[in-house]
Amino acid sequence: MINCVFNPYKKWLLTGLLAIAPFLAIEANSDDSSNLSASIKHVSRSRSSHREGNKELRFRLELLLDNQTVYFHDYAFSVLGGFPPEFAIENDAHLRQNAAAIAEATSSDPIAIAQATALLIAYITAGENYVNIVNATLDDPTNPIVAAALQQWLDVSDQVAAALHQLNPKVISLNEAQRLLTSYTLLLADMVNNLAPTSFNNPDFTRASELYIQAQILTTEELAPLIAKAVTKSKHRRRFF
Amino acid sequence: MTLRIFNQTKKWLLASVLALTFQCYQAEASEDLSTLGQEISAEAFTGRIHRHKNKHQDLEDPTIFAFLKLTEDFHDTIVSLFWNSTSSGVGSSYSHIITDDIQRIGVILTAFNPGDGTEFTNLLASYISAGIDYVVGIPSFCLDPNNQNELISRWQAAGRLLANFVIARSSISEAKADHIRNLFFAWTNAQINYIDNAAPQCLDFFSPVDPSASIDFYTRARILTAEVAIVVFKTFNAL
Repeated sequence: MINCVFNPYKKWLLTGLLAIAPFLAIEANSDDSSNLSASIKHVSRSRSSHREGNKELRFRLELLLDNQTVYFHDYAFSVLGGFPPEFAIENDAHLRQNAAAIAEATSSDPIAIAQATALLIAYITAGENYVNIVNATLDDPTNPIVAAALQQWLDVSDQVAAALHQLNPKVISLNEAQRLLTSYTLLLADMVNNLAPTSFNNPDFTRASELYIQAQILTTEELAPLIAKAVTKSKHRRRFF
Repeated sequence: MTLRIFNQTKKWLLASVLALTFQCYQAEASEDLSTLGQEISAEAFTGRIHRHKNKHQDLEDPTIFAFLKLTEDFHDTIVSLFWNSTSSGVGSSYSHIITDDIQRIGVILTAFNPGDGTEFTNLLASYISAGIDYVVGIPSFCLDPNNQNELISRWQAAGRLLANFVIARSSISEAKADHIRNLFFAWTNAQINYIDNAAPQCLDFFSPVDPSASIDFYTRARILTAEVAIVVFKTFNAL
């Protein structure tokens, strides 16, 4: 389990740090968040325009996929915690921006990028739908619409898996892609279930916190390296999705 | 209402952190293994540490993950304290999680060096405590005068103690020492910025200041957390 909870993580963070390093010193006390946001997005775009080797691409994907998990967690956390709607709206916006960045990191073809972005956004939307269904059925968690929403999410996850397989069938088997995407989706769904308030006076987020880090590890340790390998070994990088 | 929740939560959190500090002085690494989580086999973990007794490089990733989990759980605690309207015991639940997170770091670092590991963990507990003090003080920041700057200085000072600990145990140039001080300073400020932007506005207590900016600063805080963890790991690995 210690291997599961604590596994390789560092390189993407270094990549991310290098990306924002120029802004660290000058913005240490800055309240100008719009500049920071623009800087991160600018760096993200400029970096993706360079041809990257497997290692660099892997680090970049690790950061982006981890962001995806964190933003989704925070979306669910805000909805299920009854936060002001601005939090869910902004996390959704970050999820969509990050999805586009993932697509851009793995292809240089505008059409392929658009298709990949659309597929990832469909996945995000299905996940958010699951969160909202869970939130709407807190008094009746066995309601069939919860299971239906999860199945819908898993169906989209299969579509993402199929697209990953098509990226480079020699590197990513369909079974492996489905296993990873299904595991990831079920981890997130279980995390959502454990974030749902079961008791007003005695909530326990311990399980949700562990599932959260396990989902992060799955993306950074397994999914990101596999995609990076598939992309760099593919003769047809433009056909990612 | 908010002040009441803050004060209640502060009590929980501070009690946990103080309890942790005491435990850290008392405990050996092996005695803390039970806190790593129900699914973690103590035997497996001690075996792992012993197998790599002379090869601590394998503990770099656990160190990074442990720091990241602490930063993420701390973030979730703070945002929840501001806005969670579905549960009243959020602070209690997360105080346990944060305590476990700090202890998890303590277990890893004491595997390198029991004395220094314990000392660093206590400094880290004080650092988190200073962050909690800042959050608890936020409702009063809308008043004039207030002690916001003082609480910021205290948190930054707690970060400086962590930096000084690392610097004192490293054979590094002054330039590298400055880099480490700046790193811990930026780490604290990134957290202050995401907290400030996630907090209620003074004139509209039902709306956060700027959630989008908060998310961006939080992303930065996570990235800086990883660099802090790497610096700490390298320091302990060289002891």
